[in-house]
Amino acid sequence: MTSVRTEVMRSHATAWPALLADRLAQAGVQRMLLDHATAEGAALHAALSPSVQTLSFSQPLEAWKDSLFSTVDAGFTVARSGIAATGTLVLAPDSGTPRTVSLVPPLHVALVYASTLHADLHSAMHAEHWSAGMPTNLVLASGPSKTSDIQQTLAYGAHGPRALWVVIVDDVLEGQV
Amino acid sequence: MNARPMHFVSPADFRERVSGALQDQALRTSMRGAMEFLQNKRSTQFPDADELEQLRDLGEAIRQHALANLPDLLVRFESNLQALGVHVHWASTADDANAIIHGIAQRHGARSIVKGKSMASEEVELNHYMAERGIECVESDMGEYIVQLAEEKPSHIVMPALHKTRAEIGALFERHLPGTPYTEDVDTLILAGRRSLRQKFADADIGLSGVNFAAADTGTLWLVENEGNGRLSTTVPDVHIALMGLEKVVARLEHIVPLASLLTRSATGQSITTYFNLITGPRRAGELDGPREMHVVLLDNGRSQAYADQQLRATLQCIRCGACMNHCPVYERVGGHAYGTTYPGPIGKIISPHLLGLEETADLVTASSLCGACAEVCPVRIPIPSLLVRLRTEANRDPAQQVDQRLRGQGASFSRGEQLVWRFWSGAFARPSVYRWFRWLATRLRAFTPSAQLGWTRHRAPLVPARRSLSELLRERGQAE
Repeated sequence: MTSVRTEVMRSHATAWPALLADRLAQAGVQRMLLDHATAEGAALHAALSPSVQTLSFSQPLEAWKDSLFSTVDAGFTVARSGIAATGTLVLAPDSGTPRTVSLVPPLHVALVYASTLHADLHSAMHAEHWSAGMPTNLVLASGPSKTSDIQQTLAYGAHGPRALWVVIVDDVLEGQV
Repeated sequence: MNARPMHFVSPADFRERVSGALQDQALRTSMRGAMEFLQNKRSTQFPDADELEQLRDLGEAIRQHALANLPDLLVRFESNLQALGVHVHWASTADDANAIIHGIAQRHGARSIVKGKSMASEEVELNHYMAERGIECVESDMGEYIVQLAEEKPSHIVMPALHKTRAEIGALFERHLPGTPYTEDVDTLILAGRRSLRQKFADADIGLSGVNFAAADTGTLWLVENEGNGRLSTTVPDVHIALMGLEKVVARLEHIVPLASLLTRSATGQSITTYFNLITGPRRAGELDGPREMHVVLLDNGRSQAYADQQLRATLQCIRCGACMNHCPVYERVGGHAYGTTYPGPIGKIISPHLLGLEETADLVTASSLCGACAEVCPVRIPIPSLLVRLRTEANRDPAQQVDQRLRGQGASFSRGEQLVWRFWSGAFARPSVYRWFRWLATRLRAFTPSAQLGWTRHRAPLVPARRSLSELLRERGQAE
């Protein structure tokens, strides 16, 4: 993932909220979209300094489209799983964390548990029985938005998030530590 | 209404544009650089030749399996989409597709459509059709956006603005995007493009996209991209319309995994693109974003002609990676615009005759040295050179001849004189006594050989028979024939 300018942080179940809060403060994030109803969203909210405003996606997109496009600095999601071979996040948006959370804000912060990593796309698809029930949208994200459309020169931040941070939580090792 | 879509240029003027392109030194230089770049990127993705060959076998088998079962798969795909609440439309011509999309736009009172990258929409000239009816289509892929601002067409199916230099794009943005000073810095240019398009996503009534792959078993559309404009186009507007060639369907979702890998590695030399966007129906109850209405338009536009022929069916195996054009010596020298077709390069030469008829494309199928580089890199093993030879045969076939699968424009290059010459030649060549007599005559009358020999002498010295034939010379040297 780092080869396509993704910032990867490795942490533990108890330590990641503080680590992330710190980095977000350094980056100057002021308004962050997250789902307070999830354990991870609540933990991050608790760790963030009071100067960072957090908001939940609580109304349909149409009701606040302009404000989402222009005032939100970052979106926080918990990936369903990850794919090691290609450095890919498997994002399954739901009503708490809709599709646009990982798409519209300029910074996308994703948390992925090490225990959910698959070797490759094929094994992820089989282990998670994708064919048995696909959500309306399943996104495989492998880095921040980018393009080479101008003279084959790579540039980041074409339309989607200009930066992607991935927090890998080492829950596999937890018992041994 | 025209029977076929309007072309800004016609493939029939191919020869004229080729001579112009060959003399365009800037184009030659930028094409050479771009092709080398793309070839190198691809080759780094396939370090293991055995793995590549196995993957190509698999890709070919999956595409052939899908085509062999296409009618059934389309029916299954349609019913699965309908179960998800997706409206399915069938378009047999480009005009049908445009009319369907325009109808949807009218029902919603839409004024603007934001588009993700879709070669099928280029094929039907959708932007033009909509503009004539007062609906603005905005291309949101950076390359497509650049080409649209320049009022041009894409010159490559994966890298639409491949032919443009950063200086040209800097000047273009300065002219069209308010408050953008001239720059050649790519990051700054992309940022300017991002800013000007961002509001378009939020304002558009409809998002239109193409489709890279579709799975019949789940009704899933699989979109491949790097920029995020495809996700925005299919997520933010209230209505999503997907326009796809009807050959894009495969039996099962898992069949797409190797195809997607072949696509990204062959096209841009990436192990995976930034986004694989898998869409399975419109917004469901309780969800807070995503389109509330979704349409899939299945486009034929001549594909069924290729489908009906056992040999030409292989044309439809294509996954649109563009590797064939990236490795084509003709494409590299003339660039994408010379072809005058939506799909340039080797794949364009074998698909365009079905979309447009051989009348307009007869010159395209001859513009190949049959070197075979395209077939060697094709990730799904389309035998492009043999398909070209077949299309040449069809273009030269007597238009009056009855055949099982008659191609549109059969006999477009047919010439009675040429047919007679070949008939005479094969007759002479098959009879040694006649051939010997012909050879004697040709060598003795060599002084009367015309110096103007049609196309041959346009760029070459005239052909004149030798003074004596080889066998005569050998005999003179005392070595019996």
